[in-house]
Amino acid sequence: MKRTYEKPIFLEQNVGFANKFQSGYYEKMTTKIDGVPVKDIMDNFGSPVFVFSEKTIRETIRKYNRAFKTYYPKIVFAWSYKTNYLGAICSVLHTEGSIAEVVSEFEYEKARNIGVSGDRIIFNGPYKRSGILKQAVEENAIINIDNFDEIYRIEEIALQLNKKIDVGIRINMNSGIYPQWTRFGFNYESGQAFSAAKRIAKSENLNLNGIHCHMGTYIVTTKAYMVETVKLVEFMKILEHQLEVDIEYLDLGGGFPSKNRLKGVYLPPDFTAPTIEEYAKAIGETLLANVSPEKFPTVYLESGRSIIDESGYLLTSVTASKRLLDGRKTYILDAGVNFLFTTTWYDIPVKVGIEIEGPAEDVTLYGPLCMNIDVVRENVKLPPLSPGTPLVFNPVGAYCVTQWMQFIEYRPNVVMISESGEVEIIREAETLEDVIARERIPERLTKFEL
Amino acid sequence: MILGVLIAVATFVDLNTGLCGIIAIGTAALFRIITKPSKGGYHPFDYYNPLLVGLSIGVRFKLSLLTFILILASAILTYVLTVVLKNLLGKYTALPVLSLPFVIVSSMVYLATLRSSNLFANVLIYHSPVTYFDLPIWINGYFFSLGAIFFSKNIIVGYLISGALLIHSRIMFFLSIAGYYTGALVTGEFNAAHTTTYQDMNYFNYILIAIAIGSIYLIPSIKSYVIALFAVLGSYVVLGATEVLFQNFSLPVFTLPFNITVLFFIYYSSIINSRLSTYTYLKNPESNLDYHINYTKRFELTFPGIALPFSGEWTISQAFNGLITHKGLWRYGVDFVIEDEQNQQFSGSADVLKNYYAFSKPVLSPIAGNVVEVINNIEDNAVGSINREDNWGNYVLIYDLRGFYVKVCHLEMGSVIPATGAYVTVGQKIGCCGNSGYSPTPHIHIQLQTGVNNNHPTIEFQFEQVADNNSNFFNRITPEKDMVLTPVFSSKKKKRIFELLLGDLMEFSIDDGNSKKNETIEVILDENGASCLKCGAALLYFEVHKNVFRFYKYFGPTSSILKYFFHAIPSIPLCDNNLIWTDRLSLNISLRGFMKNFILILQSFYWDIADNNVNCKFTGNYKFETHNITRLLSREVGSTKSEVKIHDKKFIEHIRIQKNGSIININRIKEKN
Repeated sequence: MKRTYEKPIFLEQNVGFANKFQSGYYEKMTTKIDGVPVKDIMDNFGSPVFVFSEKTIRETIRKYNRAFKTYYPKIVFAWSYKTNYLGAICSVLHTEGSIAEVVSEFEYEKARNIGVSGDRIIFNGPYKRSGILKQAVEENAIINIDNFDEIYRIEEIALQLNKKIDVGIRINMNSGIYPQWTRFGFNYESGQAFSAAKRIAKSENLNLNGIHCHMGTYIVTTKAYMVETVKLVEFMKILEHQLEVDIEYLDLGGGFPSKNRLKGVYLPPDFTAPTIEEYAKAIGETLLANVSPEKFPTVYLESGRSIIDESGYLLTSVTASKRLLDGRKTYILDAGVNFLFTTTWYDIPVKVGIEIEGPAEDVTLYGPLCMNIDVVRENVKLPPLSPGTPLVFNPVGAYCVTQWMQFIEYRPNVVMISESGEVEIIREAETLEDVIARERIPERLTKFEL
Repeated sequence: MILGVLIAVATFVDLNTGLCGIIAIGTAALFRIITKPSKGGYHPFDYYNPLLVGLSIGVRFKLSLLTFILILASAILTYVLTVVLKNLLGKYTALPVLSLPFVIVSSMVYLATLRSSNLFANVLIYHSPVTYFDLPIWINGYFFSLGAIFFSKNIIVGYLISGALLIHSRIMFFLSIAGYYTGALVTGEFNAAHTTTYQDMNYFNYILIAIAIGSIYLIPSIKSYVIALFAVLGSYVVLGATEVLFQNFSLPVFTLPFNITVLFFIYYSSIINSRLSTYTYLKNPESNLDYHINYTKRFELTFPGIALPFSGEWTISQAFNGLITHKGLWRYGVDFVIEDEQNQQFSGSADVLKNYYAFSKPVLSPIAGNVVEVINNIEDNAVGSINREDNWGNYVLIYDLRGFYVKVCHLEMGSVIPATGAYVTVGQKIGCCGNSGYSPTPHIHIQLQTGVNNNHPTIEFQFEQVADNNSNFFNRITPEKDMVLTPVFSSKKKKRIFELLLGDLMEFSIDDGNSKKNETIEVILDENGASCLKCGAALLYFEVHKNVFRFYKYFGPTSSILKYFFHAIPSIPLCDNNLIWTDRLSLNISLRGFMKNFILILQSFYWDIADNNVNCKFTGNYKFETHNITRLLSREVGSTKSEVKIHDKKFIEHIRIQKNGSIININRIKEKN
């Protein structure tokens, strides 16, 4: 094939193989996803395009279920909708036995719309709109209360409905990690959580039956989970003993890391993050050692990122190359921070989507947006690329398809590769209709002449 | 009920006899009131013997002042003798009194009155046989014998008793005929008296023996019928002997052959601990059979049941009589491993121990008991090598109070937690799965054995209340190679919802398409302390056994809201997984009337001729469906589908039953706060 002309560049190099900054011959290519060529997907569904691997999702959730359930019997995974609420993705997880975890009216309604019944939805969040809160109460959802005002609001609803409803509370605690998320739930160490529990126990319309704690995100130490579990069990026993409540579940939240590369961390996640088996062992063994079998509570895990991230790919094309004033090579892609919001925190690994040869050089990747902040990768080693070359970003399964913006560009197709290799659209690319569907232009503004 | 009425009518066919019987009962009752026993249970059957004595007097002597005094004396004597014998026999042999007191007292009365010339002069009656319809003698003989039980020679009494038997129990009716004719034919053959044999009224003993042994004291079955007929044959000897003996004193044999034969046979059954013996007698042999078949098929408890010694889904790599190592004395062992979807026991390289899913996983105690032996210092082998010397590796040996030992082997070095002497509960962690002993790759080995040493044989066992990897729940399952099993742990909330406490009241409305009414159900304890639901005269017994709530016995009218509950809900596993399970119901819950009785009498000959299974599955966390199919010889004769919704605080919210085309809706009525 025809080679593009590249102006020669002068790079300061250390000696040969002794170069501790890597010898630089490019070898990282992803030309197929689950056996389907990247090029074929882009030919059929356009560029850019999000691709999910159903096989990877199922393998991962099954690995998680196996790892945790062989350590502790009453584990239930709750899929965190905010991580990825595409109907098809949620359905895959529900068919594997996960229930739903939602944090808003929109997410609650979406879960119900897919077919999840109220009693299989965990409803968290610092603000639960009254209307949906009432519906959740009526449908026996698992509700974790975040603050005192919410206790009063729920109590009001229970009074109106003349029901005694089961509720859980969210607590936050010092589990040894930084930063400690103190803005969610009631604080444990200061006694605030106990006050909240006492207030609920005294209510005639509320029954405290669960404790929820979600410590943080991308937590790379299993010790934090051991501490969390110990404190939750300790709190459970204090509540049962002093308030005579029966705690039926402990919700440990999520926070396991994925294989994405956090900015500012030197080593890749394969070296820094523990395996899921190690998390399972830490949590499971702590539970077995501290609770007797007749009193085993159900333990919910709200993992999101760690389950879905690696199954998501973004296929994008190089549209142009540009050399900046300081000699730095840059490429302009057709997908930017509008679709990869997570680049704010992560250096998302990127590979070339076709077979290519050549020495790698440091480049910067920009998106198509006319905004200075639209930098997808500040620095990555890639060989010379011509316009039209596909690039594969992975892992992007978590948060990208929920935090993406309808900004400047239409949002693209999202497809999923089934276990038998078929590529199906699970969200169609947007058109102008979608963008203007909710707009109302006042009559007086419709006539103008330029 | 009908039986009682018909018998009452039968005794009054001869007015004199009937009146004497009444007087006897009355005397006994009065005597009881006067002596006011504070201890000793009263049972209406206590009046049966005095009644018979009264009848035996009334058939011989016309009612007069003398007869009246005779009845008084005899009735009191009989009543006292009944209570005393009941106590003595019960204390030393657990035998019933049957009609022994009657035999003893009536014999004495007849003997005593031999010299009462006054009685004979005035009031002696002689009855002659009365027949209707010109039926052959061998048919009439049967009815006369039946009538003779109540001292009547009027064949109409025989017709009435026979009718009562047919209505009350077809099995009893069948046995009355089989017993009578077996005895009559055999005796007739021996005595070369084929026609006159049918005039011997004492053959009612054969009838009573056949009924008592074939259907009352043994569960009706081919075996019990055969034993009953053998008993009849045996009693030919007893009957013949007593007839000859008693003739010398001008005494009839009464029911002495029956009492002797049946008492000995019952005692024999109890000594050999026969599985055919009836332990609860429900209203008739059919109900007994129905209850017994259902109970044994529902709760097949031949082998001890234990829990799984782990958490999550594990695969059986070797079961009983396994080809690799489970042979000879150690044949009842089970090996468990963890496999992934590609049937691999490891992830990554097969040479590294830590890559095996099973390695280091918690091992939980399968029983509650005391730890008697622990080995914790054997090193784990590298993958592929085995340790033949310490072939059990690290293990824990636990003693179960049911009288056996459980051994869990090949544990990880240093991982055993409880010390010797410690008490462990089911589900408590005892160690980690390792690769020590005769173990090339990590697995758990579990076996039950009769003693502590290695040469104590292993015992066959089953796992209790487990699920497989397709959500099928099993109350009991015999382990087999390649099964994937996981333990079932109950949901605290569901356990609370089904914690029905004494005194709980629940109101339901029931609408069967024709009428709608409200019913109140109360939770009570019966006289033996068993928990049941009560609604009017109906009682539905329930229990929570480990993780399952179930109903197990129903007493009461043919139609009751409680019967619908049993029909729709034989049992519920109290966990949060959407499980699928099966159960079984007795025929009287699913069918009624002719069809039910027809199947039951067939079933007495061959228990497996019909089945009545229920397939159930959860359709949501608090909703499930059940489908009951009744089959006779594989043909469906009844089908009922039910949808049940569990109440979020206590028991059930709603049931919708679809049965024979009609739909019944049962709804919980909200409690007023």
